[in-house]
Amino acid sequence: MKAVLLVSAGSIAGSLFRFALGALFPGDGLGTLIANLAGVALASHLLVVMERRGITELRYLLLPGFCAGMTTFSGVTALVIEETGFDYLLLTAVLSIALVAVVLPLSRKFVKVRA
Amino acid sequence: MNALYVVIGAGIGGPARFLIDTYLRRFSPKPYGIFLVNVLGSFFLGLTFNSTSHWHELIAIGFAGAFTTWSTFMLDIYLAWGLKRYKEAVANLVISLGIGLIAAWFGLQLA
Repeated sequence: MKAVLLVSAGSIAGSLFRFALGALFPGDGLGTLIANLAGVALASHLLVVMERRGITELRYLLLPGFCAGMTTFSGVTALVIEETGFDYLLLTAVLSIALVAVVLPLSRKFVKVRA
Repeated sequence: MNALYVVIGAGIGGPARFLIDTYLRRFSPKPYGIFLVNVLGSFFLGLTFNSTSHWHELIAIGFAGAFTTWSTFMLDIYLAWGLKRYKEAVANLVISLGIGLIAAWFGLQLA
């Protein structure tokens, strides 16, 4: 039950952040793109931190909570169909994979296992 | 005030995703739960994407936005690739996006 509440709190914070980015960068899915890329980079780093440091409760709040709430799959699919076309999907997917491929190995290199 | 609708939607969507994913990962380590929420959420978002009422904040941005996840989707693909499960990584990418786009299209048509 505690895990569900932590995920809920994190998801609310992440969604409000995405909502604010959408208001700051209206139109053409720019806010959604920024939210998704920032969320992917943050989740990649946090995954390594949690693995190395074994932070279990914070994991619920930050990974399936904040990062998963900040990023959105449905926002991408609906935008592609209704507004932006397939270029947007390609841009989001390529930049996201590139970010994971850079951030995750770098984090694995620099985040030490807690003794 | 609009933010309150986002809070309510995300407060339901986020934990619903977590519970579905946690339940389905008991049966398989493969990300079937994330696939399911992403497809269902794409349909729900399609239904409310062009709504001008509070349904947009409540369902599109709040519920469907938090119910679906791009970061977990990308991490699942990258980690499967890293474990040399190439077919799984490519299948997840192609099938999730393909069916997710169809689901969003259906939602938009029904709206």
